Amino acid sequence: MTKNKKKGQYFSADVLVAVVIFLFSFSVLLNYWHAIKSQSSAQKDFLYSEAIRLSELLISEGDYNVSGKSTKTNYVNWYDEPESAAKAGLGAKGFKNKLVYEGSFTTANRPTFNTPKLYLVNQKDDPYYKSLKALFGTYLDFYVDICLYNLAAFSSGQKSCNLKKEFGLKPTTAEDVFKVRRVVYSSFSPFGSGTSTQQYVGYMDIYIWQSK
Amino acid sequence: MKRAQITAEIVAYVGFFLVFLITLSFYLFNAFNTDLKNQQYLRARGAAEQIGNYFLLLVNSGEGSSINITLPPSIFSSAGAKKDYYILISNNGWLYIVYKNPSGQTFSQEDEPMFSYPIGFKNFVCKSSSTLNPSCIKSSNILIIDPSKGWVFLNYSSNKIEVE
Repeated sequence: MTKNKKKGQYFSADVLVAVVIFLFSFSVLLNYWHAIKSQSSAQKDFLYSEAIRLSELLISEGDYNVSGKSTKTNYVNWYDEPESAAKAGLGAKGFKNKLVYEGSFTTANRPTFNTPKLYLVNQKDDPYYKSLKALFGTYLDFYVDICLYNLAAFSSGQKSCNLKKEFGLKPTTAEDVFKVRRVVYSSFSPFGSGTSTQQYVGYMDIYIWQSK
Repeated sequence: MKRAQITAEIVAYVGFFLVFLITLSFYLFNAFNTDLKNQQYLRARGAAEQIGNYFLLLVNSGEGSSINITLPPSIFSSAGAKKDYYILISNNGWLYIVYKNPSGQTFSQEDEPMFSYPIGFKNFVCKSSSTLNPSCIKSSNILIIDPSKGWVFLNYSSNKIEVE
């Protein structure tokens, strides 16, 4: 081979074609990476905003007169019939961040956050859990952990919860879990004369996650 | 002989670049269409989040509260002008911003759902005082809100939210 022939081979068309194909493939790959990154970021933003929204929903007042069925002596609460209820919420009327757990239980089925109707489920196909998700307006999975301390005991250094309530589905197999903590308080007046109102303070953790 | 070979090579090169350019053109055309769709989606999402936040504020404020929402002019034009989007409230507790098909004069099933926003409240009703051209219409399980007047008034009482 002569020197001229080598130069001709170096600048030949196949090199140009190879460069064009490489640049095209590289730009497609860059686009793909960018799309994946944007999608992941958008998904995380959505999970976080859902956690905030659910926490706001739960500290506001719920529907304690589902379909107008409640009477003066018997309540029909949103957690009794989530399919028919207008709204979920554990807040006390007129008090921001105060959970419903008050007064003497002289009326039946009085609203309380500590109801056994709200419970932990083992699987996401649980019908009650699904109806709660529909009422909350979310297709994501949720888990709520409420821990309240007796104010007097908490002031003297007690660490364990006096009142604990968990409901929803615990995140065990999730890729992304978002947690929002809200400071809440409540009060309870035991039935009977001469018993003083007990004050509680603590937190409500809301976990939002999406199962694989 | 040599000339003939050169001509054939040139034809092959031109052919290759022609194919390459046609492919690139298709790719760019598709990317342009996708960008256009994305732009519509982003505008709907921005509006839905803005409106949805006002809805949430009212829902979480509880009974006895009301709110007057000025609709974002970026997608909802003022009275008399062209209306590109509708607001739908479903009885499943979700708010939808729907792009109106330019060929259609009224809301139809052909309209493309653009963005949804969870409200977590299910009992929305149109305000009962009817007018000749109501801006809130109930259709089966959906409230259709015409945004052309530029605002929506919400009133939360008796376990329901009235939309005007």
